[in-house]
Amino acid sequence: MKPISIFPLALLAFFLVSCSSTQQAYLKNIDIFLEANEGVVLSDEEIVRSKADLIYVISGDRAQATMALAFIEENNYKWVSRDNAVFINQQGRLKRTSGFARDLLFVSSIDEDPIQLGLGIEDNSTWVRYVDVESDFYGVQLSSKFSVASDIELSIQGKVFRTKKVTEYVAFTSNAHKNDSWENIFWYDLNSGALLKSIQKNTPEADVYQITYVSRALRLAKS
Amino acid sequence: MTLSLMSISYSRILITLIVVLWSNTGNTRVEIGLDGKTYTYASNPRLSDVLSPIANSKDWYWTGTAIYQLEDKSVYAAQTKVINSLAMLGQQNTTNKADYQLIIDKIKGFHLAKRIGMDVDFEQARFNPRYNPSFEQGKYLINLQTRPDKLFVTGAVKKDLELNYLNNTCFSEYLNDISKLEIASKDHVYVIQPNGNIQSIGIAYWNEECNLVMPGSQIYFPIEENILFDDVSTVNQSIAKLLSNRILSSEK
Repeated sequence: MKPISIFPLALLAFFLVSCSSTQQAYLKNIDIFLEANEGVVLSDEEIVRSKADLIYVISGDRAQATMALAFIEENNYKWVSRDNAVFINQQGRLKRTSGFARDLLFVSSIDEDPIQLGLGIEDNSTWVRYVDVESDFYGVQLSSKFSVASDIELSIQGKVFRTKKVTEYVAFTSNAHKNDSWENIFWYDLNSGALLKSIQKNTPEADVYQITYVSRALRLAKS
Repeated sequence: MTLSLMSISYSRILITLIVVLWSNTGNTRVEIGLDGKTYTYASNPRLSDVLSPIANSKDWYWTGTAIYQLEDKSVYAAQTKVINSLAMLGQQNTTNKADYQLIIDKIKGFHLAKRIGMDVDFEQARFNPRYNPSFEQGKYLINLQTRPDKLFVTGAVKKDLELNYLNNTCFSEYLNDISKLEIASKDHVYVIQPNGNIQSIGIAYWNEECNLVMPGSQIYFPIEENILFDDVSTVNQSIAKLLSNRILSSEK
């Protein structure tokens, strides 16, 4: 990508000063955690010390990486990796990605997603939506049916949580691709209702994203 | 008395600072149209600063966002060149001269501006300096939109159309709604995606497959290409490229 202009050096200094100080502080803070992004495992102490919330992400066959919570805006949680890949999720549902090889561009009717209810999700709930994923999955249909299982144990950083496990059976329908199906899974802490972990993808060929909310989990374990 | 002197002294410092900052900006003036409003900057704003006031106001379809440089006239030279080429083809093919003239008239009516070839994404702009350029002095338009619900058909068709975008629908299913000109290609169309990418897709029985086009795409029906008029292919490609610099009515 070409920049729009080569900026005069004198003015560059002026702009560096006027950059958002909040963002600068945040970036410095998470640098140490994102430095070795591939295959990273953090100690409890490192996770707790981080001022930004952290998640572990396993994307497809890749090693475990960390992402940090950069912003919460309009109910959208925005997580960023060391290499500027961005997840945007709403109540744990991925609604957009940026900086990946095949980005998720759009998810329709997300407010009707039963996952938005969190712990309140009911067995046999359903949801139909259309998604756009690069580079040729435009307007493809995903139909989901949800199944709920209570009191399932989940271990994060050696801590065991009692969770509600929500399995989403996804049927993928596309006139341009082979139909397919798979399962997305969400684990909610039974006591607090907080989402602790999810496994989700949006098209048959897309990477599966396994997301573990480690900062959140350690806060709950401590309380 | 002392207080008054101090006030004068502070005033001088303030004025000096303003003068220094003003001279640093070199009297820059940047004007940017965004989401129906015009924003004016006395300095060279970064893309993230420009987008910041409206970035979270809607779920924008960032992949379809374009930045147009409104004072760059180079796109009009390309438009003139394409029109001249079409006029020449019309002279060589007198039977269908009216068809060529119709396409020329359409192209003359396009609202064009030079599109800057870059991806626009608010998150990338604020996290990644590579995607956060500054604006030089001038006038710009940023066409933010939520997910488009139309496809825009033009080229060798009797009438330009805005079709309602249908999810999970092969492009071939739109063809019944489109009346092509005599000179239209029977083989393929160009899809100009809102992100500026151009692709060719087959529409003939022998090369047709289901294509799910990006919402908001322009569909250019090209002129039939053959070995006698090898310039036609070049003209078609030039028109498709020109269309990537077209500001559609909903974006004005």
